Amino acid sequence: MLSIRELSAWYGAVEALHGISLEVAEGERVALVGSNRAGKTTTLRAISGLVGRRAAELTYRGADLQHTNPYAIPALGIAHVPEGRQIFTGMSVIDNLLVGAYTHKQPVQRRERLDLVFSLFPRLAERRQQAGDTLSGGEQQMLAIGRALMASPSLLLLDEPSQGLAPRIVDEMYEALQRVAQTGVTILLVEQNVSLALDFASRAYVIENGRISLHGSSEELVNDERIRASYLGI
Amino acid sequence: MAVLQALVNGTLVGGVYALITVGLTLIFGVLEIVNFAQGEFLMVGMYVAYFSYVALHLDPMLSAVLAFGVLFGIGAVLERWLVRRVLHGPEISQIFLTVGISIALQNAALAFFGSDFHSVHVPYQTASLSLGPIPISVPYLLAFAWGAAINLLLYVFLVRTDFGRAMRAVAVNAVAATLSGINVSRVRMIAFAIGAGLAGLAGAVILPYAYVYPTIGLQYVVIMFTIAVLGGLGNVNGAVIGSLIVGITQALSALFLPSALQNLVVFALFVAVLMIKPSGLLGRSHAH
Repeated sequence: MLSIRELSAWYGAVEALHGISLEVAEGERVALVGSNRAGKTTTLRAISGLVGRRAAELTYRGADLQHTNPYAIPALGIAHVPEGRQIFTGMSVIDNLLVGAYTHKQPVQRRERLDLVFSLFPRLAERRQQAGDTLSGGEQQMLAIGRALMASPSLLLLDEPSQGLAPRIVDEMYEALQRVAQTGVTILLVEQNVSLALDFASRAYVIENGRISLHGSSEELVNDERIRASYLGI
Repeated sequence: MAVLQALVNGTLVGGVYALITVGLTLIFGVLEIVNFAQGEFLMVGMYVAYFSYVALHLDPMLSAVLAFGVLFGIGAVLERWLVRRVLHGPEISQIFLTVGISIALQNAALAFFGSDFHSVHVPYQTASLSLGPIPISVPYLLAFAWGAAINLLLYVFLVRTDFGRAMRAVAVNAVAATLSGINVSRVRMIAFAIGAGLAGLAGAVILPYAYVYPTIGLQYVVIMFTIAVLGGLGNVNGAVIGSLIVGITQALSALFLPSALQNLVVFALFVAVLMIKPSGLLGRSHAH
């Protein structure tokens, strides 16, 4: 579904990714884990075309993302929930969600998507007229995920959804993400919280200094000595 | 009675100011560029209305639509070929570009149309209606009506339509807008074109009570910026409120100050507001 071979990415003249390869199959849940500044966020940004990048292959369902304008990528079925949520400040919850549905104009479909988002995150329904940036951190994260789901994505790119949130809110959000995954949406998850990520995903890649250092099933990785020592603190 | 009359006049003038300023505000809000050529867009709109009157006997209230169209086109072309190149550049380049456009337009007008003052003659030029004991100037009332209609239309566009929502989204977070599938460059081009078009439209509707000449834009640009900054640069509602405040303040202060000092109170108020709230009345408290 998503095929990446030898992807490099740059911020200005600084190369942040040095030829990574990864593969996500239809319906899979894959995690990309690693420490701060290892290149996790850059990988997602490179997929969405937000940074300069070059790859031997960067395709999604056969479409070449390197030759697609960044704004045209969501219409292919990829929705990216960016780091730090990036809510539209000063705009209401409902307007934030409707911007997410920008590429889907049919009213019936929009209503269905809204119902889905509100059933996943009932608190957004309660606060639909409130400005998005006045929500709590957890609610803003739910809004960012909801906005992405409004585009009826087949692949969801999630960047650190647990960042800065209380453990109870994190549990609540991952339960909602489980339900999203059960509707058939493929998920590529970036997380600093490795145990959370391995719990959620069936497969994971470990990224270090812009290179993939390890990959395998979540079970293998949980039991891997290196992972246990460097990331799980066991 | 005089106070009431001043309030009415001030409101009418304020409505026209809102029309003149709203384009500048829209452009700053969406592109984060200060367009110093906005006064010249207004000037070109005045000439469009003037020549429509001379050649076709079109009333400026109608050729306002034509002026909007012409300036929309000019705005789109300028954004596509010039403004876009400096959007991510240093502010100094942005200032040089828009000041350069303004000088170029002034001199083009001077070269093609000469330095003469021109005006139009419409039947309602000196007409007035009476609201009880208060006379209301018809050309001001018509210009006010255009201002009110345009601001209402713009509000509905920004709040109710997909494209308007996209424009607000681009204004606050271009990256998140891109991730939502919005073509940010195109939205910016159209916002600039609408902003230019509105200045052109404003130029046409003030023509029944104003003269057009190549440097007329300079006369309006100061009041435009005063209002835009007073209301909170980039905030469309702020521009409307700022316009009414400035219009009414000018009219009221004319009651007890000589007209040469008409703007003294406005600028004193302007400085006072910025001392208390530097981002303007409805300004964003945080800059991007």
